[in-house]
Amino acid sequence: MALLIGMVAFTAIAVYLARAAQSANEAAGTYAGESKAVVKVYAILEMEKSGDILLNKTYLILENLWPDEVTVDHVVVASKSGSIIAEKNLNMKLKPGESIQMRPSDIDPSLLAYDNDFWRFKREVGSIEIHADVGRQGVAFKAYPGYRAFINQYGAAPTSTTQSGSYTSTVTVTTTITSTSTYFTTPTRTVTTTCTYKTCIQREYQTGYITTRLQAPTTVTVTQSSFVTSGWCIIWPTTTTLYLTSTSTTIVTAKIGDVTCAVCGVCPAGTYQAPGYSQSGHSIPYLTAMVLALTLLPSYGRLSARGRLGLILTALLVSLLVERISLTVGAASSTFTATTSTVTVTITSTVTLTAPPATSTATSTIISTETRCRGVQTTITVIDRPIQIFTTTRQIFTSCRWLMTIYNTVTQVSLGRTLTTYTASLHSLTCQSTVQ
Amino acid sequence: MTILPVVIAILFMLLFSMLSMAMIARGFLSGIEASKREAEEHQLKMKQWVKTYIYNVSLCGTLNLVVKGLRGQPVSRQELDVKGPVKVLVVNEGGEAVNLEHITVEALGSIVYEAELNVRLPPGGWVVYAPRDLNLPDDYDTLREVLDMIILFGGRETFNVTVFQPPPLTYVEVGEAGECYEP
Repeated sequence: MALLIGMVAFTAIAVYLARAAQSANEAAGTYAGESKAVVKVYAILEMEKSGDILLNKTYLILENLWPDEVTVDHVVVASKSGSIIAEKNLNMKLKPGESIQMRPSDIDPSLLAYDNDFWRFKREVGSIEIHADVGRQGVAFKAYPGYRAFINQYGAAPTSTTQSGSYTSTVTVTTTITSTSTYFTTPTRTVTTTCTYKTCIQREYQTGYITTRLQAPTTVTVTQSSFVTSGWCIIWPTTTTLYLTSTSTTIVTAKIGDVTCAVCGVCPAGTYQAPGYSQSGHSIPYLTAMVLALTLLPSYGRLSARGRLGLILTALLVSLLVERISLTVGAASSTFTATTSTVTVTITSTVTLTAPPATSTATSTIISTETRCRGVQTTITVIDRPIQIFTTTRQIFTSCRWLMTIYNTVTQVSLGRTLTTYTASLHSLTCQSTVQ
Repeated sequence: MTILPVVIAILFMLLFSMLSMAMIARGFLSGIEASKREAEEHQLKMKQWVKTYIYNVSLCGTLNLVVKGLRGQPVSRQELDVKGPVKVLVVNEGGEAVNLEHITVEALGSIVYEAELNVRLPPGGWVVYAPRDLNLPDDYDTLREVLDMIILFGGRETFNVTVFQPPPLTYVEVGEAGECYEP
């Protein structure tokens, strides 16, 4: 009898425990099904230059967000209208946190067209249905791809540093002179090239030494009238108006052009020819020399007084016309070079804050925003210029992306005294090459 | 008298079997319960995928710059300037549709905007606001300084993830002819 009671009790307990275990297991499976994102799907755009073609590559990443192993056993790719484009049986085991990367054609060869056309994939694919085994329970859910981008910027770097280009232009120096004058110009060109985080800027300066006996002021205008593109660069003309105030020898410097290269982290090399240079104006010594040369002609003495007067007047007229003709002066050339691929540059970010006219504790916040390239290491220094004794606290927030924005927030607390200005900039900062 | 030891032995075996079963079941059930708890916590984490981006760049302009840079094509100064109007973009980056029912905007410690919503965001769906729609300043830098939080309510969930950066470039749509559309 006791044996019978014991067996019945044992069976009842075993059945109860088995049902409890099954119930808990089903509950876990139900939660997994409800969360619907046991496996997260990302569609990654990778832009990469291959030869002359720009590829918009598509990668699919399946990431296991479940805190236990998940087996993906079937994948269905559906269009935005819900129709099935392709499907495939898989046996993909993903540990917690593990992800796997694949191309669309890895699911089915019929998806090959999406491999290098991310935008078409985004236009046409609506969802990816995933059948998985979670906690010994089969779940099926639609995953809607989250889209991210990765730009392989270095794939576009020039492979050669011998890129060259040229342009021709006319630079005209026009002087407005209100009285008789004598001047001589010896133009020289200065070219400086500065490569920053995404641009290379070449600045050209024309320098002329002008000796004048003018009544100041005098306006000198330097213009450049044309530009051409070269490789990555565009040459932008600028017009500079100078205002002379000196009555003695004056050095005139005018910026006549910028060369801007829109290259992220890469500076090209190039050769640019100097623009032509011309000048016009009065030149008393030249006129005098012309007249003297005429009077020294052998035939001069045989002319009548009327003829001599006519010859001199003619010579004056001719000399005046001649000297009005623009003279082209030389054409120099300049080069600038830069390394390819990664370029380390130093950028100093300076922001100025006008502190509050407080006589007690006060707080001011300044924010500077910069855009710079991923992968560029930047050294930024902080400079304190206290006018009075004060304490400062700083909070620096950075966010690095391709063409990223970096935020620099500096909070300054002034104790008891009025501050005038405060200048600060960021500390050493490395922008990470993260997948966005 | 001879049956007593047999009964005692059977009772002892019964007790021993029950104890063994209880110990095995306890270990088994604790694992299942832990898995269930993690499932509940995991479900909550999923809900935080509604994100608010605040930015002032043109995504299409930036994409154009990237494409031209990669192709080695020259760009004009106008193209180099990728600034755009300030936008407040609310995006559902999760895998489920979300119903947004209420929005609260806090700036300088006060609620500056509050409204009922009836917005359903499918996975990948978005809704965009101009700052002035939310009683916020249009100037980006000023907005960064004054904005405390944008809180969105939907169902029993609260979403308050706000970032001052543009969304990924892939948020644009590029048509077959290469035309670009952005939120």
